[in-house]
Amino acid sequence: MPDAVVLGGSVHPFARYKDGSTPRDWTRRVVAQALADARISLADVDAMVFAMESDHLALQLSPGALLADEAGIIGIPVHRVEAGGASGAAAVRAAYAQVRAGLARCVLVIGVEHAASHLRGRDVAFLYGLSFDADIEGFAGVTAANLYALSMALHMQRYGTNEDDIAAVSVKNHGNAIGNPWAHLPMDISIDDVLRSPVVSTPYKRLDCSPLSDGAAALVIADARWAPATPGRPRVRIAGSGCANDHVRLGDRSEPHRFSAKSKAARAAYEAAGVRDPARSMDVAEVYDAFAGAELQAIEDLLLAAPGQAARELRAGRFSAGGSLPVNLSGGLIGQGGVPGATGIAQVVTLERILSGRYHRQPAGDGDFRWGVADAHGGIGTVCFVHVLERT
Amino acid sequence: MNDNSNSPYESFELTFRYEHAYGELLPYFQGLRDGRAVAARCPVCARTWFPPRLSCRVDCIATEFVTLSGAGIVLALTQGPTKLPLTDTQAEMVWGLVRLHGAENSIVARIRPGATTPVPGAEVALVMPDADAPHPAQYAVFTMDQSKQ
Repeated sequence: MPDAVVLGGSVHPFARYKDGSTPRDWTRRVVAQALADARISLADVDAMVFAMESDHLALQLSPGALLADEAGIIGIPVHRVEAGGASGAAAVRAAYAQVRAGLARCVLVIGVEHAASHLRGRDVAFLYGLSFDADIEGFAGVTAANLYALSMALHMQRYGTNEDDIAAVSVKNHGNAIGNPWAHLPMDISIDDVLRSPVVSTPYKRLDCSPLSDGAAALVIADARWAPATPGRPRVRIAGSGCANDHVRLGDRSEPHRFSAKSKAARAAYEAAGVRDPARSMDVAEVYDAFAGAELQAIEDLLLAAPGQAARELRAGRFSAGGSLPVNLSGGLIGQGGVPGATGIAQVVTLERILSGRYHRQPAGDGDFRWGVADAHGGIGTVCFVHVLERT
Repeated sequence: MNDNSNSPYESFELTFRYEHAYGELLPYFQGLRDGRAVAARCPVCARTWFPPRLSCRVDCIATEFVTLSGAGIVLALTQGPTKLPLTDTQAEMVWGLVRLHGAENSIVARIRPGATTPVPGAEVALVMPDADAPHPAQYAVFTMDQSKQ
């Protein structure tokens, strides 16, 4: 099977747009930027995968076909994928699979979401409440925050993780977003700021929660045998892709304090990449921090720290920008923003740029970043996607 | 229409009306309306789920409805401002992961505050609804089981 390499990509800044712009505008711009970054033209693209979570938010059914047309993409295979907050990651996997299977040699991946700026907050909250088991939980009034909070409460009971530990994630990720031109919420804040922010669902405060953002991202994934040379730029390949699902309802799971499906997806991705000890091998990670505690859970379920140890290692600086394994240098969902259709794509764009040494805030340290892992999930760890990237 | 012709936005409100059904889960929702905990049990292995699962994940056959006592234990709790869907109700509410006695799964449900603050491990019981709700899922409310405190 051919290797799948990341030729380049870009992100239309995650934000709450009040300038009258729409997904059509963001898509056209980000596609042009991604093609330029990949040093190819639209004529080179022979397949497209599109990701967007909700037609209800966008007021547009079949958005993939429309936005492909707007971007000038005609006469090639185009399809849309959806996996909640991991929709973008699902699109990356679909493109990777097409390249590996020989169905395409150059796939454009586009993700977009009009999630935040044009609807009342209570309407958005209601719609996202239907992301889980709508009849049994959503209409009862259960929110994403409630579910993540209950899962984290169990983690705290089991491992002694505390609210300061959780707040430290928010401080790190908002801080990492400073200097990231794509970020929604760059902020220099303290643990006390987080702890004093309004309660959303205990133990989570407002500053522990990722924002809902508008935005878009695009990425080019190609067959390494076809990929044009990019002089001066190291090539980054997708070395492994893993995916697994779990019961939708938290209460149906045997271990609701963690994301078991994430571990399964991670193991599959690491195995495909030939990585035996991810905690030692990975140099950088972009993980799905919809809520601050979920980053700690993700670090453990991605096998980057032992169960219950992520908070201790985070407080010791291991996952900071200057640490041995920087996590969410982009700011993650908490700092960069949460755009369900685009987040998983933006994670791979970020990792490709870090591994090829050209991220806008290239991390300190020895600069020898070879391996990166991207993690996203839909629901509450319900459909998990993990991608392992390697600089070749 | 927006009166400001320079604004890039139009503001409008959409209203949808749904005729919503519950399929084979109807007995569960009817039970909640009556304050009963209707669960699902596998006729082969007797594993029991509340909320119900329509097929046994071990034996892969259709489950049968049974009624549990409605008493259970709180595994975890969270609290925060809540807006109940399809209502104007907005208040601070407590939510718990509750495992009914006899069930092997748990439900995320509201815990009605009582004289005692609930804590993990507390005994709770499903209560009879005291008001009409727009969706029967909102009848899944538990209260501290005073007989067990």
